[in-house]
Amino acid sequence: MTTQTVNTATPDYIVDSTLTDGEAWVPLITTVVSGTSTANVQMQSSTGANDWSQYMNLFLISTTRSLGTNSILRLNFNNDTGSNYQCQILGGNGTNDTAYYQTIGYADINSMPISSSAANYFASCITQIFDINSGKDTSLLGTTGKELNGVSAGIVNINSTVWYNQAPVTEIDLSIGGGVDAFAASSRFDLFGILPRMVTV
Amino acid sequence: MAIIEALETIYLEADAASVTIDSIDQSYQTLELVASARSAALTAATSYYVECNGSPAGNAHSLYYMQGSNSTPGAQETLTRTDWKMYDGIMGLTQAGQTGEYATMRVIIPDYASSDSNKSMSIQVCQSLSYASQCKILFGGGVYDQTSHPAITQLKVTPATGSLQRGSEFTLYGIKSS
Repeated sequence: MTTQTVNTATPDYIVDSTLTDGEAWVPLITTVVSGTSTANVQMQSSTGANDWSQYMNLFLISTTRSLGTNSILRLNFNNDTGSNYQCQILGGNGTNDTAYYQTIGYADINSMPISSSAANYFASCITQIFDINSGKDTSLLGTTGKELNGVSAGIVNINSTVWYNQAPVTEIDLSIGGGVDAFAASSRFDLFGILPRMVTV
Repeated sequence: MAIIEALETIYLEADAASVTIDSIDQSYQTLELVASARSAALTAATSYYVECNGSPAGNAHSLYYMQGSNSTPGAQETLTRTDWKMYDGIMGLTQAGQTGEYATMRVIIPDYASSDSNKSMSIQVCQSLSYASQCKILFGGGVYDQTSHPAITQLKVTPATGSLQRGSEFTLYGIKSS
């Protein structure tokens, strides 16, 4: 079960159809998990401020924990679960640094505590999704970290993914291992749209 | 007044040797430069330069960073230069069939308008994910330590080889606490 708040209000940075100065970041969707059955968090473009076609970038802030044994937070665009995502990650666990590169069916954006981890520990994650309405393959760049009450297996990383698809991004799905496990209650996702200020060269 | 405001977006409709954002508004506390860019270099990747205040006297830009390239982690430094140099920080053209892929970059410069201190910065970059042998992701921190501590009024972005390709996009944000 989730509580999802979607900002479909008329954008207050537009007055009488004229773009006025205002915040570059616009809150779009907030989802907070409750209960034990939420295996997928879906965010979709809709109307008003939540019409994603008006934004240059999206920015996702999340804090998550798994109720199962799978720790990977997956992000999929537009319901595409094919092997169309290329990821590069650089990370460290307090002792060693690692890097890896993979072609997979999702963007790997976070590693979170699992059911056996110390209680009340969540991972943090910030993810910027670039130029979502252009004719480019969509790319994202993010950082993540989790600490497990001093127990080894804490991790920090910087990650990036390119999605080999040039369609505008209209939906984001977040899951743990593709829906294998559910999110713990109090897991939270905040999505923002980021406006440009256009100067053409 | 906005907390985070887009000051200027440059979206290239034709290839360009470089992009310059000048006359930067001095009324904010922190700058953030966000880019989605690609070079016309005939390589898989090429270095990426970010320069403050236009050809300043002295070599006032230094940068340290951690880097992941495929399965190899590492560290680099590019010190006392006329720009912040990110080794292979922007992708080129070598990988046929992936012409829609652009590199990503985020640069944050706190206290850019001060006149009494060196300017520190942090950076995150990733490029060329479609080309395993040249794929690089990096994060780092640097300094612009011009002796007179001038405020940053201009930022210039240039690939080491090739021009910036059509579709490259750069937005500068100003951030203030209230």
